Amino acid sequence: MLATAATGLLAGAHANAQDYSTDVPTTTIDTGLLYYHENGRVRAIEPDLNLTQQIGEYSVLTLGFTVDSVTGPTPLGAVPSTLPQTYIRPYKVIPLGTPVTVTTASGGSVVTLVPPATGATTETLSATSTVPPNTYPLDKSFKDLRYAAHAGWQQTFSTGVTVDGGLAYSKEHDYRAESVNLGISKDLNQHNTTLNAGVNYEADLSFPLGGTPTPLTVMNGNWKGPDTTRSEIDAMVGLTQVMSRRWLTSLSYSYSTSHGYQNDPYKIISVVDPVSGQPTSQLYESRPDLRHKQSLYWENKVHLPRDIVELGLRGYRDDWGIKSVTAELRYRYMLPGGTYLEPHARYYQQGAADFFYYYLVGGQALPEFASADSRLAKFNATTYGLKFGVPLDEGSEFSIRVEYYDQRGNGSPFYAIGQLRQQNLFPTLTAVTVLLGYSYSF
Amino acid sequence: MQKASRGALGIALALVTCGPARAEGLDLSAYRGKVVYLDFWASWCTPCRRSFPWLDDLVSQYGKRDLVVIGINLDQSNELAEKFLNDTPAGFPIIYDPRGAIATTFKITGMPSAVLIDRSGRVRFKHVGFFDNRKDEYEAQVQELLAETAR
Amino acid sequence: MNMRRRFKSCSPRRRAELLLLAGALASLGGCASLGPEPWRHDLMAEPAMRINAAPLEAAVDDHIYFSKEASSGGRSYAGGGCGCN
Repeated sequence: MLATAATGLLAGAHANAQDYSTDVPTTTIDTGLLYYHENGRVRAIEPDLNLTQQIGEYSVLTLGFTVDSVTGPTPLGAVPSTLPQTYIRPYKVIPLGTPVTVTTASGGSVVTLVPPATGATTETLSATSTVPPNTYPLDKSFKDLRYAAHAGWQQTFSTGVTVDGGLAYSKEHDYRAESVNLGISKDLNQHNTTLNAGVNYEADLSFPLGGTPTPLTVMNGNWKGPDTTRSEIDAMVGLTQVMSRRWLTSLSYSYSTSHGYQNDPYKIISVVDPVSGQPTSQLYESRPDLRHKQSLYWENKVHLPRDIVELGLRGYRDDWGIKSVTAELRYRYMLPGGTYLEPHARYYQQGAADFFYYYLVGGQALPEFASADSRLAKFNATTYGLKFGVPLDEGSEFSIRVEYYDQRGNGSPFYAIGQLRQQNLFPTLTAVTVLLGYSYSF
Repeated sequence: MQKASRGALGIALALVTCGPARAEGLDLSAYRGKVVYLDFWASWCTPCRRSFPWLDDLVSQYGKRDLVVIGINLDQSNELAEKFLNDTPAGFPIIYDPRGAIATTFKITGMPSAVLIDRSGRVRFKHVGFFDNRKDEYEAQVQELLAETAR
Repeated sequence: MNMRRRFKSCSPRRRAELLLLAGALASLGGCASLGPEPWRHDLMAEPAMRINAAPLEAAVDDHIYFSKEASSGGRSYAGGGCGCN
């Protein structure tokens, strides 16, 4: 992600509008606590800490930390059935002959010992889970802890050019991402126009529990393949223009190329019987190893006599065939004493990836790429939220934001076969988030 | 007539005849023979706020040697400026220019801006922005103009 | 292949997108004298009017949407503000 921490603090410090001392604030500590809850599914709690420090008149240092604890079931990608189904996943390799007590692995699944290959000195413990009939298959064992940190430096030169650079690191139990970013911006036209450009390079390592499966092979309990990597370069150019005393507009275009392992190693896709629609086998998904993305983002802020309105539009497309549009509106109602109430609405619509399938049909030739990950499907999503902000002592603000997210796709495609016609192939995803924020400048 | 004082006189006339009741004219002819440092500022401008202690120092150091510092306030409403001045009183006179007429005449291109006028009423230095590491430069400009005699 | 033929061989949707981008870039030339005088940046100077006024919130949102949707960020965060110094 590009320049998430660069805030151009230099001339417009994070001061409360009423703070007039000649000792202008140079330090801002921004904290947040997020609680995320998907209906019947994933739950996450995430504290965040950001520090912004102005050093002299020309430099700004930013540091950030976040910890993200996620638990709860996520979709496997398999289709539901009128019959019970079982899924198997390897999770531990033990030396041959080690005594094993059959216990329940996390998420209520049963431990299975997978017979070793001839001559092997190890055997694999796998977790087998059962999904009752007419239930959307979820992976109940999903649990993760993510740590992330970022650091950035912004330097302004006497020519009016500002350069910024940063590093970011993120680690989960099965994934690691490291990135470096560089940006440059120049003000023109008496600071009414700003041109900026940036690049971001990211290198990822994926080491899934159970190893990396071979795409489009049948799901089994054997230990899978080695770690995989992926790299991504993003480039962005932007133009920000103060149109009038009240209206600020910004247009940015970004292009990104990603190469390497793009699959989700835990996701599967069902192969179903061409008549009954019953799943006959589950295959590990397969995605291309190259992806090119483009997006155009247009943001506007208008300061009305008392309130502030914000409208953002984004168009996105990539060479996986996914196209999306996003529209986002915020309205900040200013209340007495600097407090505010800010309703928010976001509308998002995306088309499916070329290789998205709800399921594959037995007897037909396997496509080169196939995924049933609903993240790549056609759906629309709306967000409704409300934020309440209160300035506290000089230079500090407390806020609370509650949002409701609702993602809907087509659960009954017209071409569904047999028992699939009575199943919901895209259960609605709803989530509630509560974000507490506390910011202090001094 | 020098460009700066002709313009300033024009403004003084315009403000006296049709400006808002609180706006005062900028009649520089009253300061002929002295060095005038015009500081264009606003309460919302952070570097402007940082410059006030330095301007107060200038007044205490050079005020007896014919330096006149005048703050031209460009807040959209005098109220905001007054709130600021209550917190941070200025050791120099303030002229309110909410419509930016004086700023326009002096062709101000950034906030804050300083315009230095010599003893003969001519604009000699203009600088945009207030930078801590250039305070010596700003002070040198003042000293240079004070060293001259009026013509 | 020259630009005109290249443009003509694009789909209508692609042509519209290219025109939008060209229009946005062309208006850059007209931006030379667009915008308020330096002393009329009072509203732009307010913290809530900055282009990235709530960075922590924006980062949290980007992460949530990225984990549920196929598209990803790409916003610029420079510009606006009081325009001082």
